Amino acid sequence: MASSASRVLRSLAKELGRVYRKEKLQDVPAYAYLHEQMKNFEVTDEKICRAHNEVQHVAETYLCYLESLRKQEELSQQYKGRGERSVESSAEIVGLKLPKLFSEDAPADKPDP
Amino acid sequence: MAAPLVSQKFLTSCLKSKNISHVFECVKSVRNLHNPRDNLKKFYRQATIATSDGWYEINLDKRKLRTPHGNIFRVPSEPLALAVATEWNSQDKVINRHNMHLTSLCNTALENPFHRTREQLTETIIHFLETDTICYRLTEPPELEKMEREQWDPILQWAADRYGLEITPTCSIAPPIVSDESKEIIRRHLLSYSDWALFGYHFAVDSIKSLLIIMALVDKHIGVETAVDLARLEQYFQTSRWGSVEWHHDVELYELRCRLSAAALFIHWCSESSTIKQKAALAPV
Repeated sequence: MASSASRVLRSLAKELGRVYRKEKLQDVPAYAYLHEQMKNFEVTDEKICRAHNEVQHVAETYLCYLESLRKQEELSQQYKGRGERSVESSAEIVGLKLPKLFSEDAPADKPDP
Repeated sequence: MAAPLVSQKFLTSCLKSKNISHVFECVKSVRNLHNPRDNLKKFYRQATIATSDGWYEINLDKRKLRTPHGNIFRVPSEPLALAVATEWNSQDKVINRHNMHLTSLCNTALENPFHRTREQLTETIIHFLETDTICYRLTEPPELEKMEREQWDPILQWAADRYGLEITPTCSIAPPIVSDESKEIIRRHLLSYSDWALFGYHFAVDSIKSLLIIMALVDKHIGVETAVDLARLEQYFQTSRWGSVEWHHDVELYELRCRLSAAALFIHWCSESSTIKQKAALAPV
């Protein structure tokens, strides 16, 4: 039990470390709270009358939340659309070219002799 | 990327303005100008929590976080506030509002946009029982039928042992048979939760269309991963046979896990009463 609790705490520390990249983990309030809860749970599990693995279950749930958020974000970054193609590139796919547009700056074609 | 830039400039100029009503007008017009799907640029460095009147608030740098209607954002529990702050801290460059499930759950509970009463909310949740995912069984292919029996029956059994619910699953289009007593038991059970927790319940049940799985999850009988796997059993069966498409099936899997874990945490933190008791001998003098 203790080993799986510390495993969850370690994974949570890793996930929170990805969120708070600059701060020291010990200074992050969320981590401090978590650490305290897990420690309390270890020492006085029976005394404070919590359900046997309540803290563990909540910690695992939170870990699942952070992990899934990150993985989902990674996947959507990987597969997100880059918007629509331009008219030129769509024409190119089927081997066509757009006609050149008239502009005044471009040198006018020489009239046939 | 031009739109978020404009809105950020707009917001900062609004926030500099001293006139409160002007700020409201600006914020309103910002809201109307931009589709909610447009992401706001990150305009703060750090989100922290603060207490006031026994509630917990979120500060983005020096400013208080507000709900979409402009009320102060506040939550009843410390871990929930910490988790919401972590959600805001985890945003990088742009604020991805559709991925902040805990924040949006709190917003829903604070503002109750559809003006639902406790009774209405409970009835909506119970309504899902009549079409509960794990009560609709397929008879073929036989492998799937076996899987459903092996994985869903224990949940029904658990519900029968824990709450005395009598539900007979169905294999046809007819709805499963749920006794009136069972509905009454669930109604009483749900009404024992706080308003906030009921919003979480509704969000969770709505995500996977199964009340029984959510009850098992909230009672900490199963974990989030198991709950999502149970709800996606048929899809799991089909993808294991025909192949899984990462940009659809995996995205959906993680999305559901996010939603369910957020809802489970929300329910837990909103219905938890303080459990630490001082020793009786140490009475204050």
